[in-house]
Amino acid sequence: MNTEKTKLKMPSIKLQSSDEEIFDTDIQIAKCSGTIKTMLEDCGMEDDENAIVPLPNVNSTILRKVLTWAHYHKDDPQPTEDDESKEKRTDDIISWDADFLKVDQGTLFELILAANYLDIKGLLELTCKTVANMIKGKTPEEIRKTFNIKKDFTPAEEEQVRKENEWCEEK
Amino acid sequence: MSSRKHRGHENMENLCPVTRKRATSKNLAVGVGTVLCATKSSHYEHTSSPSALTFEALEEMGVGMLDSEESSSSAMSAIALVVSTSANIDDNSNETTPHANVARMSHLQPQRLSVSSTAETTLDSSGSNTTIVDDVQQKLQALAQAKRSALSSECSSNSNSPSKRTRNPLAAVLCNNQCDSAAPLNMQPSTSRQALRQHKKPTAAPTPHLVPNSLVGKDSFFVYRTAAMSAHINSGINYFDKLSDEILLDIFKWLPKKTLLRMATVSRRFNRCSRDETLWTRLDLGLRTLCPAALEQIVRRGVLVLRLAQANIQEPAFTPLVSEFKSRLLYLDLSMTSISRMSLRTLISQCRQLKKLSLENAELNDEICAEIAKNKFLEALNLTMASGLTARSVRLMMESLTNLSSLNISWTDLSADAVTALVTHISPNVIRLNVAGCRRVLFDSHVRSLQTRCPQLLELDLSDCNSLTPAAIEAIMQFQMLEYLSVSRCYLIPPASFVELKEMSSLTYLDIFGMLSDGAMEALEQQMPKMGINKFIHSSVSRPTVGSRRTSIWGLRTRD
Repeated sequence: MNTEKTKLKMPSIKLQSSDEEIFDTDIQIAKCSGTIKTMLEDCGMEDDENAIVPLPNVNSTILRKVLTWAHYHKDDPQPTEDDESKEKRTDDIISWDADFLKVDQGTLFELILAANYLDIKGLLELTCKTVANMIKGKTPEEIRKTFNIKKDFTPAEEEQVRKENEWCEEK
Repeated sequence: MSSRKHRGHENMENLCPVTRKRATSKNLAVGVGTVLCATKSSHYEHTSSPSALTFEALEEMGVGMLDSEESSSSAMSAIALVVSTSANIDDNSNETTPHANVARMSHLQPQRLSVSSTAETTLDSSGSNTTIVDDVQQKLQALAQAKRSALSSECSSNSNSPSKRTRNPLAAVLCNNQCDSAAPLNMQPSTSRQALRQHKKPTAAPTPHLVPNSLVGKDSFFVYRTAAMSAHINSGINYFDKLSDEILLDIFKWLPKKTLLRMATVSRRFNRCSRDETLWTRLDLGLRTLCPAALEQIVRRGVLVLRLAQANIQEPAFTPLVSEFKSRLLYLDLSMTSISRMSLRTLISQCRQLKKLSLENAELNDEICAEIAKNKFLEALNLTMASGLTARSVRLMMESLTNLSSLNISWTDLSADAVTALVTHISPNVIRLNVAGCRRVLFDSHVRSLQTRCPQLLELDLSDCNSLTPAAIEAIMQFQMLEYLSVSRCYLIPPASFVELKEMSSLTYLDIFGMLSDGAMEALEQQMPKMGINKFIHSSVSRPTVGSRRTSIWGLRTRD
């Protein structure tokens, strides 16, 4: 390994997945995770190239995907904080991301959990949007089937909930 | 076998044991290409004849099948059964079975299979996804034989369930070696029908079967799915269970309001989460017809910015025994809303934090005004064309609303007493005021009172206050900061008086519609070159929507 070169160009750190696989990762890419960034800065691990950052909540399969995503998006501008003023649209997913998320539901939800745990705003937003898009335009029954959700209302409850959520006369 | 079984259950790998016969290698491609997006019912119609292995049968054998609950997942539509046959298979095997199975499974999955994903089911995608079912076959044969008759009846009844016919998601790849060469790639259901017909042997008619003969090679069939297809296949797990409510809200926040309402009816948890007030900050129901009691639900969601302009609110807007609760409403647009006085009173009585309120064209009474007056933080109030305002209620509101900075009380048919109450009790903080349309009730003395009370006015609209005389202009000239003035159609003020206004250094815009002839206007413009004359036909004072910006009220978005 040409550690000398990488050290000069781009310092790297080691991330350890829950199944104890080690990922040598560019520090800039790793730092798109707020969790890792904080961990590095707070623990002063940045200069220690042999430091291993344990990520007990992420398995290697998911971590690999996350790092793939982070690598592709490493030059993205930092997402702005003002959530409020931003328009809520879900049709702005770029095609690379769309392809990236052509995965089974289990993986998609694992990615959500990982993005949340690792505090990667862009990825969390992307994965949540993707799930939102899977929900849109479906009837409640279709939603239940898509996500294996059990209808746990009693008939009376269901009627009540239906009433409470019927606001406008359909045109 | 056991590992395969396990995997089958885990991955929903659909090991549909398909029997095949008389395929030739050249037909392999044809078969694979013939991805049938089973959109019509033709499969079903045939299932009763080519009797089938039902999934129970397969399950007994340990073949991972879709059980009804799992398969009910609409997403798992994209299963392609590719039945390929090796060359050299002889022709004497009988009818093929996959249809029945396919139909049985597919009708449980009311999900569209998009053409695109179907199209992806091409040969090149097999790879690791290909599962070769071989040893299963032997068992299958015996079992299928044994159960054939019983199962076929059940199968047919299932697959013919009329309600479930319409959408058949399953992509069945029929390896019809005798497929019409024109047909192979088309996705019409007729392909399978055709194929079937062609396959049928005379003797097989009533109880056609399946039995693949032992000559079928080990590699003779495959079940595979593409990666893209697997995306829609899940394993019966509700992954939402793994997410915290917080993350659930991260997903919900991307949903349109209408979808959120639908989500509430999915399950208890979704119902609870879909009500989270962070999801309901802004709401635009302008022009909509609201169902009875809907307004109560809306207010209870904790909406902050609510646009109900021109909405029709059906009675009762609130349930009779509405418990005490306070809305979080800050910005409320009820312009031209059709709402009863009683409901309006109930609504406003729940509001104590309002910052801006528009009741344009509303029917008011003293009780409603008293509720308005309790919103001490009110900054902007639009009462244009509202009816039912009395001197008493005007006084109460003016005394209470000390934070008011913008008031539009034009064309409200005020009495002279009401106007007096207005100009003597209005908050000195008001900087924009529209009292247009006070015909014969607003006099020069009122303007003087107003000037004393609110010397900081920036904007004043006195149009159609046709009792005003040149004395009013004198009073107006005392305003040191006035930037906008309208005295349109105040016919008692002679044109010459307007020239005096050029002495007001702050005044930038002057509206005097209907007062001057074109010639006089030209002359006036020459006298006052810097003044913008007759630039604004409509007043924007306190109005939530001005011009073409209809989805924002007072500059705040009403939609996410």
